[in-house]
Amino acid sequence: MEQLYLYIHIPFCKSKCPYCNFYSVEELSLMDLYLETLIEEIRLYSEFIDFHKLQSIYLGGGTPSLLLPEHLKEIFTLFPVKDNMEITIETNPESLSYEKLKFYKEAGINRLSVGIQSILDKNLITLGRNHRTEEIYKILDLIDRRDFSNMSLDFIYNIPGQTMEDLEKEFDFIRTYNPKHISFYGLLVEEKTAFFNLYKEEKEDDLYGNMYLKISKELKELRYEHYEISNFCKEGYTCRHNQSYWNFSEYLGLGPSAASYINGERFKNPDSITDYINNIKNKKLSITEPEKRDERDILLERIFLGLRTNSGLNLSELSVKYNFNIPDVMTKISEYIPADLWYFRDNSIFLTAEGFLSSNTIILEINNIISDKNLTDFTFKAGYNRTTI
Amino acid sequence: MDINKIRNFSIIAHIDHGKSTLADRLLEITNTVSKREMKAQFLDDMDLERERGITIKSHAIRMEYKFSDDEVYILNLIDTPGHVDFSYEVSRSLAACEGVLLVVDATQGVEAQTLSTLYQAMDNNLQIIPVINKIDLPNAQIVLVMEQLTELLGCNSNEIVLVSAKTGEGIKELLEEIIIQIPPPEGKPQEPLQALIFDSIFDNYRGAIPYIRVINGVIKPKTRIFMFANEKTFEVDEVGYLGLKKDPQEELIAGEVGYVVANIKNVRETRVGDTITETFNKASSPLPGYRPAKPMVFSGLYPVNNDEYNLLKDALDKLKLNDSSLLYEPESSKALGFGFRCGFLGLLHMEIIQERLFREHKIEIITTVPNVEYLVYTHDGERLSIDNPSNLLQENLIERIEEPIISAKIITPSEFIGNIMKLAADRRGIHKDMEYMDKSRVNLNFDFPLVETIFDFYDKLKTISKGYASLDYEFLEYRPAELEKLDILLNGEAVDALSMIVHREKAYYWGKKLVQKLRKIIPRQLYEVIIQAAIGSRVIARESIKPLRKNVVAKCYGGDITRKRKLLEKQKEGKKRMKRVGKVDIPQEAFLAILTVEDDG
Repeated sequence: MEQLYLYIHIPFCKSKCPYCNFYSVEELSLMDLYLETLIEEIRLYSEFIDFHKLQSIYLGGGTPSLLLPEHLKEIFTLFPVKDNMEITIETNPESLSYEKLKFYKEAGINRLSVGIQSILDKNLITLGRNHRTEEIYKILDLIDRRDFSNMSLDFIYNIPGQTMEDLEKEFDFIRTYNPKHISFYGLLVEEKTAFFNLYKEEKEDDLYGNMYLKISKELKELRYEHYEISNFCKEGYTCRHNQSYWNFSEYLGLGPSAASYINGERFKNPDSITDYINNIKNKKLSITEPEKRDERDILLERIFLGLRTNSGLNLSELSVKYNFNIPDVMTKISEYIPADLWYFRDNSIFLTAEGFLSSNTIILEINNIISDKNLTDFTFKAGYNRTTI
Repeated sequence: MDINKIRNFSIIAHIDHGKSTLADRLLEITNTVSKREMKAQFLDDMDLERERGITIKSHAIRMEYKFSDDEVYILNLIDTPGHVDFSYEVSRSLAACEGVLLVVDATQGVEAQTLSTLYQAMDNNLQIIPVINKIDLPNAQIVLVMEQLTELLGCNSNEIVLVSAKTGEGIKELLEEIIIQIPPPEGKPQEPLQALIFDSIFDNYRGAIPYIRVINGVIKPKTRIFMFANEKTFEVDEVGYLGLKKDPQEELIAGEVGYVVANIKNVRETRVGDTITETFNKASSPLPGYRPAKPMVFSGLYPVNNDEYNLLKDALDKLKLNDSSLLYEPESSKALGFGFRCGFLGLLHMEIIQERLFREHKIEIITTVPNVEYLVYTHDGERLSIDNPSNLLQENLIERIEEPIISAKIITPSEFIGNIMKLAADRRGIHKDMEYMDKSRVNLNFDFPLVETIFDFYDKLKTISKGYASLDYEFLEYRPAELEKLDILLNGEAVDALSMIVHREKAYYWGKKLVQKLRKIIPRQLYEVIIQAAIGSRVIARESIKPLRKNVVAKCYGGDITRKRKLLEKQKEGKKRMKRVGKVDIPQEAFLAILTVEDDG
């Protein structure tokens, strides 16, 4: 492929948030060693990956804003940074500073993602965040909107104790601040997090859904495009990097736990900074065996990723590959999926906000219909096929 | 073989009263099985039996013991199944013996099931040796239990053998008592062959192998044998004793216990209770007491995955090879597709089959609500047997419906009489009589509609009596009752597999409970689901399940697509285990929702 998207995982946090299941460690003392390793990893990859194809760099975490300017300088000298690249750094209000912001600008970072999560202290406390509303206002004041016109704010909803009224306050804030991009993540209690023990009993109420639909509606009114299940933006401000995950572009992940999709293969680094460091010290990439995905897995992936965004699931492409008749499949889909959850346009299926909410069920339903041997004249070969997409 | 040196006996004991442990000790002391070979509880050799602590099938084993007169005696222990569902099998085991050990737990006393088996033994004129087990336990109430036994048997307390199967205390004495008290068999080897089948196993290589007690005559290889009830003829390949392993012999003569290999394909042909005779020298009549398998409880078995119909059929055929009381025939359901209507001896038997299908054959099945067999009399004077509620005729065609009634015996400490009377009234029971067995224990007799006892009756009985009450029952007769069909509708469509036949007075109760239960069991779906209960066209209860509003992978970045896909696959597996009826995905347990309705109070 002609394009490559790069993700760098910065696996450090001052303290681990109780709801988060992304990989991170609190041993900040490992930072220097980590950077050495990262540089070596890049060197190892550069033997067979052409970094001139880079379209984006995304520094995610963890807490990338813990990186010092000299760290960033080292990283960025390793890549041919071009003007039209999207270069994002994820930041926390409490680890940002005027100096850092200035340096980000100088280093070529042109997209800022700030994890504010909520503008109400009570929610921040529940989430175990280290910042408060006051810091949010302070840090946003420091950010020169001319330097970072492309800025994203991260919010979380469905926080235990959060109410619909709380949500209104977030909307007021958004109305005033008017960022170009917003991620609104519904808190899902994940295994292996501290929240799991606290909140694993799922509530049978509809608050999650009500909040979600309210967010979608409200942000649409504020002229945001609901372009992915949890992402909203002003026209032209989609996150190009994140879209690479959803549209089968190639991406390379560096750092522990980072995932890659190269040449039709999915693989990742281990969720362990020590394994990562030790492997690469021995001049060996630290990646897992590529996932063995068979044709059924790939079909499910395409449906899953296609329906996540407003690009939709293109049935013309699928019907050629899986040899089905679009009207037959559409008849079934109309029968089994309520009309308010989806729409059909230009041979693609799109989900509505209501549809996004139950998207897992819809994905499985569509997957089931397309795999139905009565509809699809395609023999699914079990087993791993290396040249898949 | 000197038949005067043979003792054939069986052990009567309630579940947990230590029958298996006692059997283990007897095997050990007679050196039939060395300590090393001893799996705990030797006689219960099905995994399921060991887990549930219930003997499901009979077993038999031959022991040798040198008595104080220096003579070696042959002791044939014929084990009996330990659950009310299998009382016919028990009666046939008893018919193969001359005596029984009545084993009672020193901490528990006599229980209902023990009592009914005991009465059967008395009817068969068997010698009864009362045994109190677990005398080593600190809470043993030996004197109290002795009183119970002397009252029950009219014996002296010094005739009761005190043992601890666990420690081995008293086991030697017990062996001597068996030899002294139990009479040797009286059979005539010169008479035409009469051998009673008291059990039958299936061996993958040698076919069905009946376990027999030779009553009269002799059986040996090359004998052409004839099964009275089955009217089938076979040629004997091998006969022998039931030691730790099968021990081939030249012949089995009147009085002896052993096995017969005769190239019999199916245990159906070796039905317990049948009599084996010689084809060319037939006995004038079979032994008394044969009864064909009579299922009491019926239910539909359907594969969750429709493609597995043939697998299910093969699996049932295989289970049938060693379980002659399992009956099944193909049926189809609009909701569930193709499956089988199966007849079971009781609910436990049903659970066992279901479990074995899953464990031994890896087939996931849906079991429909168990029910009984009704007799329907039409206005045209026709009589129909209905074992599937969805086959019940329209109301205007029916003159009357009759349902099976059982006679039940419940033994309980007297303090729970009130609770039990109330339970009985709830279950349309008719109280017949009550008699005190001793100062504190009562024997209550009821008539119950069988159907009222198959839905969690036994568990309920245990709960309301703190585990003390015990139950035994037998089929009595058919009686007319006010019954009607209760249908369950999902989004307006009746789901045939959820229909049930209920008593008119309880229709409203069941309808309401069932839709409430289903609302809890059926997960939210993309569409709203309306659940209704209806009698004919009259809807008597309604609930709805709001459409699904939360099933989403909110965070999908960082690129680890595989992890997210696996999450979906897990959900896909869960979905596969549900049955889709119309547009509604129904979990397996919904079809048995009725069995757990009461749990929710």
